[in-house]
Amino acid sequence: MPNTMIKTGGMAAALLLASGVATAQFDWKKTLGELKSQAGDVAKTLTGRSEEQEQKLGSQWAATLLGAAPLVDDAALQAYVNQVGRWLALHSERPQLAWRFGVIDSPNINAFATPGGFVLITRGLMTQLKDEAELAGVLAHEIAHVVKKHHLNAILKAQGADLGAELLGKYADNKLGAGEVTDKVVGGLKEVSLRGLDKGDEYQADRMALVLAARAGYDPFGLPRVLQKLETLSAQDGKLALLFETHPTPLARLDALELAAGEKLDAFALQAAAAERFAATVKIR
Amino acid sequence: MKRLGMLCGIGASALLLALPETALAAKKKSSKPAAEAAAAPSAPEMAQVIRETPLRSEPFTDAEAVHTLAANTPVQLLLRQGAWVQVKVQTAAGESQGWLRLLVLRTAAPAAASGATGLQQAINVARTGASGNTVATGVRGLSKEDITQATPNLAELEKLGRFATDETQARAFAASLPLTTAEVPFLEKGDE
Repeated sequence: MPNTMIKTGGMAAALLLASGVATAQFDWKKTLGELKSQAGDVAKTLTGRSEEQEQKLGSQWAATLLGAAPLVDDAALQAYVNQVGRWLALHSERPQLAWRFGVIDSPNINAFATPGGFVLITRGLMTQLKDEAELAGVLAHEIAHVVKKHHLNAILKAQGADLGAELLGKYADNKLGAGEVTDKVVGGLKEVSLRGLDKGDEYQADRMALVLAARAGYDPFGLPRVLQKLETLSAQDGKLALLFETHPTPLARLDALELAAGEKLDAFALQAAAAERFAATVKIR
Repeated sequence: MKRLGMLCGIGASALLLALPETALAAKKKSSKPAAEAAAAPSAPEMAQVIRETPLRSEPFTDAEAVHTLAANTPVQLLLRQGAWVQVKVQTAAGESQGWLRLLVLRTAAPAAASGATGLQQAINVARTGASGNTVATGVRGLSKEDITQATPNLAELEKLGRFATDETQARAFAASLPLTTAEVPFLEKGDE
């Protein structure tokens, strides 16, 4: 029967495809195994990996941070940070990532990004901000980490090159699923959260943040104003401990920004700060 | 010195009326000498310059340099205007007023209950700096210990996804202010 023929042909094609996929995976893993001895090469290989894989790792990482501090129960606030964040991200080199922004319920003053477009800012930091340009500065700094894939650098450094390579191997593995992420991987991600990213990458994210804010129509000096504020807060304040441990000092960051920006962004300082919209939407204390 | 474009010059004059108060808030000019004002109950907002920098007569890079301020010189903040802040400063020649670039300033902590004046406080902050060697204690949420002990919360992850904004919504949000896209090239790392 013609129908049977078609079905059989279809099945054969499906089998061929399946075996083709299996072979490709085997070869990939073998190649990866060889590369594992050289973590740098693995990282190089992975920068070309799919967004889907990047996002799987990033979502696990974000879920872990959400395990430490859940989202603030304020739908209007969560929608607002997503609108500001997505608008900024549209001006980056990765405008079409599945960007997700959230305010998490912690008094600590900090913000986090994880691979694939997850950005979390604490209630403690939100309450330090005065306007939308300052929020934009903070979110744009985190967006820059995602766009530049700074986490790969940090993973490599986290627990020595060996475990770094292992983590990256799992990151690259097509079979990495939500349920398959091991404690070891999560442990490695926590380690990066606690050690922070490369200091040079932090300075790069600051420079990019000013530019992204300016491109999106904001006063680019929002982030510097936040840094000036952090500089005034007591170093003895436990709420700032992790931020200060994982970043260069606010003063060093301001200094680097002044050297990099010079007068280049002065004209954009006249752009929107949107203090009124910020005050009308951000009600948390 | 490089000339600033017309855009900045025009915008700056309009800004005095338009800008809301910021972190470097506009302060009414005080007729008191700076030292006396610093000891007053409501201390003026103080800052320090982070490196040697010219104090200019007007908020433009090609304006006359009234003085050269040494690193850590304390200044009193009067008004923010774009990328510039108007300040009052004590020099050997007496009190002087002028403009500094926003990025050369570190704001000082407000005077604490310790009895320190704003000025002393500013100096203390300069000496202490912001050290990262403190230990988080008694703070719930995202201390090192909290992150170490955290387990993934997939329900919260799913909730996070529900608030995501798509491109159309983001553009509508921007248009409502309005926020207008500008062309700005990325910055290279600065030279020391």
